[in-house]
Parts: sequence; structure tokens; C-alpha cells
Amino acid sequence: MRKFLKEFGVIFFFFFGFILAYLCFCDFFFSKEEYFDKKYKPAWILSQKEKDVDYAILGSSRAYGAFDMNLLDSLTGKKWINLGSNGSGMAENYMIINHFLKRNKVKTILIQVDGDAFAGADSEQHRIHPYSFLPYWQDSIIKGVLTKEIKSLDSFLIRAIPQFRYLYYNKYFSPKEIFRRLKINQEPENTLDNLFGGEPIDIRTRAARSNIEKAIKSGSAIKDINPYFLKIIDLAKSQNIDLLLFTAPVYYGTFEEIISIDEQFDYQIHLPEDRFQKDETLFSDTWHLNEKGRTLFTLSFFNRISPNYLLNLSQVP
Amino acid sequence: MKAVQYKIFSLEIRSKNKLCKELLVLFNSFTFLIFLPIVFTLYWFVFQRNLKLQNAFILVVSYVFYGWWDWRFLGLIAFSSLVDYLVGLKLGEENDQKRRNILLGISLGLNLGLLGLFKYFNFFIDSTIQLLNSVGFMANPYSLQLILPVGISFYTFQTMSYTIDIYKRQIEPTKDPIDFFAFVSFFPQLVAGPIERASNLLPQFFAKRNFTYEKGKLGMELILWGLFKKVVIADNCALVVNQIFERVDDASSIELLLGMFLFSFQIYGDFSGYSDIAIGVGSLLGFTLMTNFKTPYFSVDIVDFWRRWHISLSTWFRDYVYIPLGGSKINLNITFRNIFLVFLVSGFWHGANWTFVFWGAIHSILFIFVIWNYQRSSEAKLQKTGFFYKKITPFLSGLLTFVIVTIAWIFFRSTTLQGAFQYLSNIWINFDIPSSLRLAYQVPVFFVLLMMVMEWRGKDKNSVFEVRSLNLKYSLYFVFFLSILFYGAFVDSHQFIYFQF
Repeated sequence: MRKFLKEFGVIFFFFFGFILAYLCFCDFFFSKEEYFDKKYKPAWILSQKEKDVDYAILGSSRAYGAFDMNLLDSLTGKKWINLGSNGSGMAENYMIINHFLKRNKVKTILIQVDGDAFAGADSEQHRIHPYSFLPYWQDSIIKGVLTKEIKSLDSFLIRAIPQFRYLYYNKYFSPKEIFRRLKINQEPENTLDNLFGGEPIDIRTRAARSNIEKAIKSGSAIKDINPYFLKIIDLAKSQNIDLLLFTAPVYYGTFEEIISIDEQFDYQIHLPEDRFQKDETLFSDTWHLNEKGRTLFTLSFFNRISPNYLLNLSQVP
Repeated sequence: MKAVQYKIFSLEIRSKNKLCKELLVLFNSFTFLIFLPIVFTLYWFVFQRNLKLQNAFILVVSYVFYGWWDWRFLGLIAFSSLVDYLVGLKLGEENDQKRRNILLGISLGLNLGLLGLFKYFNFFIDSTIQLLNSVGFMANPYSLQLILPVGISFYTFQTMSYTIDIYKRQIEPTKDPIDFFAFVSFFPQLVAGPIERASNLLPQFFAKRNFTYEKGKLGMELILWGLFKKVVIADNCALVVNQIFERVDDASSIELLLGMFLFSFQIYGDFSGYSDIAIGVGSLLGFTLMTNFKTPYFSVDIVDFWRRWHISLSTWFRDYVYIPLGGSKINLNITFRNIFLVFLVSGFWHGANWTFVFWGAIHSILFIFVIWNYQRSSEAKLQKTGFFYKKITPFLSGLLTFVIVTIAWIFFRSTTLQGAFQYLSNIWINFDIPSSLRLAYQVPVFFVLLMMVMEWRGKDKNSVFEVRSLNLKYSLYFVFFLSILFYGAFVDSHQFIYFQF
């Protein structure tokens, strides 16, 4: 037994020490914003600081890709930022806006809501990409959401040695990733900066599916509202920030759930005009607009929020 | 024709997968990383002096291990153990054959009844409904929800072997309930085997166990290797396999083939990885559990494959189903019938779905063909010598066996027979050669190759880490440790496949 314990003890402490050293390095390296991959939207969002914007758009890929940010900027003369991110649910939106408001100022938040936003904790609107937020473990809100929603991050081991959180997501924090990030500053200027966080047009075009299917949404009864959605509302209220709710177009979208809740909710939800729903040429897939659709929706949306500056949409190509 | 309405009561069995993943003390979880050292320390440093206490400690930690998943099912395992313990005692005393038959019937009836209720009831109801509907009777199922208890197929088979062995007077019943309950619930092999025989495991509870350096080292090596196979091989393969199986219609031929072969390694890495860890943990506690896998993908034919794959189950079926049916002693036709039946039952043991039955049928047909071929050409073979016959033929035969076994896994993986045939036909229909394979595919392929090289060179050894040079041994430890650290799928890790059986 003694020989075993001695030999195993040496090996164990060597391996454990190695892991700990590596994970501590991860904690140091990956939390340095200069090594963030800012072409990756969540990293770009989280690294924003000292911005003073009039409007911040929050939501999933449908918010990310729904607006021509340069067009909005030139039409309104206001400062805009798009905080929409692929697959971002309400829990993620809450972490994003909370973090963003700690380092930046916003006058109005525009939240993209789908029916799922009102469908509680089991909905898709609860999706989280935890690895994006791990470097901000010190942020109590981020840590709170992650440990509440991701059971493995609420383990005894991580409470004792928080650096172990990187081990769960080793794919995103590998040595290979370290070397890639070291070269990140040598890459060309980030287009997200130029687009105020708007989606580069070629991304959606490249990912577009050839078939657009008619969206079939069951009008399921809404029992409870997503708790993180309510937290965002509370947060905005507490900081005197205006809120504007909207939903981006869906091909053959009926928005029944949203319409049903709209009547019993304090906030009006801006639905897209009917013309968007049945025009296939405006979509890259069922849930996302293409370049033409994005321009049209941006103009349409601008007309909604600024009725004094009505534009003639029929003149837009 | 007037449709007759039948109301059939059905129980919906759900495997509680999501909950299992969160709550079960998985061997690849951090909870187990804390659980095992605590058990090891108390086991050897607090309870070693008293064997009774040590066995009681095993029983307690085994129930904690199982109850971590769902404490309500502790009653089930305790009830099953109690019945077999009492039946075993009675069988040992009883000489009247009729009474002995009744006692055995009670044990088998109870164990198979529980298994049938929790695992197969819904399958039979659904199949009956489909049959009735197909002949014009309209049957409406009602459903109840039942949770499939993890590992029920394993521990019921283990306890059944105990009573059958006593019935056959091959072993004596144990009088100590703690030893017996600990034998049934022994946590390293409780939920996914190896399915131990009472003749092997139970006596180890009677004798004082001593820790040896060799056993401890072997245990740690098996745990390291098992973890590598689970979190690096199986879980990385699973990421690719799941993606491909989800889009069978869109995937190209190459992707479908890759998905098929990677699933072959996923299931091997998953199940043999679990067995390795179980045997390793057993070894750390001074037990010797039976070998469950012996490099099965290096088999030269399907008969050889079944000597190497899930050995504890195949030998169980051999001893308790095949031989009682007459085995190979009567004539060739009866032998073939028995083989066919055993494989059907084996397929059915894996799951309540026709896909598993079909998978068993494929193996039975191949097995029968190989046995028939043995019989036909055994004398002619003995006369053949030379490089081609000694080296090339086994290699080609082994390759063919691997390919066929891999194709059969499609039925194992698919949820419907139609889905499995669709997968196979799309390999031809969706013929396309992509210009390059995605990086996500390259990682599992690389590690599968590494695993096969290691298993090939360690196939006649107790551990793949058995090398002469000490430096090389420590280097290997480090390489596989790093592989687990950097490539192991922890948060995306999947529950062990065999937990569902």
C-alpha cells in the first residue's frame, strides 16, 4: 500500500498540478480582452466598453441579422449597437445586457421576442453558450446565471477551484486555441466594429438553405413568462432605460402567441408588416432575412419608431 | 366490418435520460472523482480489520451510489436481493425436486417479471396493438409512465445466475445476507456489468482481501484507459455520429459510412470503457472482476467476436440458455436453432425494440454460417499451411467480420427498422465524395486509430500500459492523461449507452 500511495501520490500531484497550472493560465489568458476573437459576436459584445449609445438591439440571430445598422445610423443620426447573437436565448440576453450596462450607457433597449420568450424556462429562449461567458466568472450576475442553469458548473469542485470551469469546455480553451488567439491581433480589422455589431451580409448568404419552408407554429397556451425576460425588464426599469419590444419577420409567421400575450402585457410588441410574411425573396431561410429583406425591414422599422420621417418603401430595390 | 374497440392498458417506459445524466454518479463525473477516494480511504484504512464491516461498507456505498440516481429504486434492488437470498437458502436445504422447481420458478418469475414490467411491457402492448390494428381491430392504448431502473437487466441476470447455480448444485447458498446484498449491488459493476457469476464474485466477499501494489497499479491503469475510451473515443465519436444520424437524408455516402464506423467505435469505447473502469475500481478494492472485452474488433470471425465482446453476457446466455436448450450436443439442426434463439433473446435483452431483435438475428445468421463452415471444412483447413493461409486469410476474414459487425450496429443505433434500412440505402443513394473532411471528423478518427494501435500491442497483456521501459510507461500515462484533459468531452459527455439496457 505504501509503495502504491507513494507512486500514485506523486503521479496524482504531478497531474493535478499540471491541470491546475494549465487552467490558471487559461483563466489569465482567456480573460484578456486583447486576445478575444472579436469576429465571434459574443466575444465582441462582451468586450465593448465606454460606449454611449442611443439604441441597443438585443436578441438572437433574428435580431443580429434583421437590421442594416449603417442604414439605421444614417437614417436616424443616432448611435446604434446590435447586441444580437446567434442562438442567444433570454438567459444569455440577460447576461449580455447586464454586462454591457456595467461598462456602457444605453438610452433605449430593443428586445427581439419570439413566442418562446413567453414560454418559461424550458423554452428555446433559455439557451446559453456558457463558454462565451466563462472569462467573466467574476461578474456575479453571469456566475449566478451559469451556475443556476448549467448544473455541472454548480459542482463542489468548481466552487472550490473555479478554474476547473474551463475543463468542461476544453474544446474552446485548448492549447491550439491559445496559439490561434495569440495571432488574433495580426488579423485584419474587425468588420463588426464597422457594422455597429450588425451581421456581415456574406455570413447569412453563405449559410442560407436552398429551401425555405413555411413556418408552422402551434399556438400553444402561454403559462409563464421567461424569468430572464422579466429580469431584463426590471433591469431596464431600474436604470430608467426605455424598452421597445419587436419581432423580426418569419416566412409565413403568424405570431399567434405574441399577439395573444400582447393584449395582456404592459408593453406593445412591434410585429413586422404583413408584406414580409409571404415574400420568399426577402428571406435567406424561414427564420432569417436576406440582404434585401434586411434593408426593407430596417426601413419599415424606422418608420414605425420614427413616424415623422416616413420613407417610401416601394422605392427601395 | 364493424371495428371493435379494445382498450389496452399500456405503461410508457421512459429512461429518464436527462435526469440520469445529472444525478447518476457516472464514472466520468467529478462526483465520482470525489466519491472513489473517500470510499478507497475508508475501505482500506478504517474497515479493513473487520471483513464483516468492510462488506457492510461496500453494501452501504453501493446503495448510496445507486440511490444517488433515484433512491426509490433501492427498494426494488433490495426486494430482488431479498427474494433471491431467501430462495437460495431454501434451495440449499430442499431435496424434493418438485419444491426445488417451484423455488426456482419463484426466483425466475420474480426477476423476469420485474424486468418484463419495467422494460418490455410497453413493447408487447404496442406490438399487440399494431397487430390488432393491422387486422382491422381498433385498439386504443392507455398509458402510464414508468421509469426504467438503471442497470435492471444487469443485476437481475446476476441474481438469477445465483439461484440457478444453487439449483444446479454448482454453488452453496450464502447464509450471510450482507455478503449477498453486497454481491448483488457491488457498485463498480452494478449498473452496466460485467454481469458477475456468484461462483466468481461471491467467494471474494468471504475471504479477507489484501491490497497489493500490482492490483492497485492495474486498477489505476484500467481506470485511465477506460476513461480515455469513454470521454475521448466514445463521446467524441458520439458528437459526430449523432449529427450524422440526425440528418440521414442529407448526409453524403462518405459521411454515412463514417457515421457507421464511428458508431462502431463509440459503442466499443463506451461499453468497454465502462467495463475497464469497473474492473479497475474492483481491483482497487481488492476484487477481481471478470474480463468483459478482449479486443473484439481483432476477431477473425463472428464466433471469435462473441468470445471477445461482452463476455459476461455471452457466457451467461451460453450457460443458462444455450446449454439448457441442448447446446451443440444433439445434432446440427438443434444447434442452429439454439444459436438462433439465443441471439434473438440476446438482442431482446438489449432493448425492447424490433431493431435489437433484428440485430440479434443478423448475428445469429452469421454465427450459424460460420459454425456450418467450420463443420464443413475443418479437416481441409488443418492440412493448409503457408503464409497466405496463416496470415492473409485471418486478416481478410477479420476485416470482413468487422465490416459486417459495423453494418449490424446500424440496427442497434437506429430507433426503427425503417430508419436503419434508410441509412443503409442512403449510403448508395447519396453517393458523393466531399473534397475534405471536417476537422470535427478528424479528431475522433485520429484517436480511434491511436486506440487500435494501443490495443493491438497490448492485446495479450493485462493492461495497454504494460511496457518494459519505465520512461515509456510514464510517457504513455502523460499522453493519455493529456488526451483526456484536452480532448475529453466533459460537459457534452453522454450517459453510458449500456445504462439503458
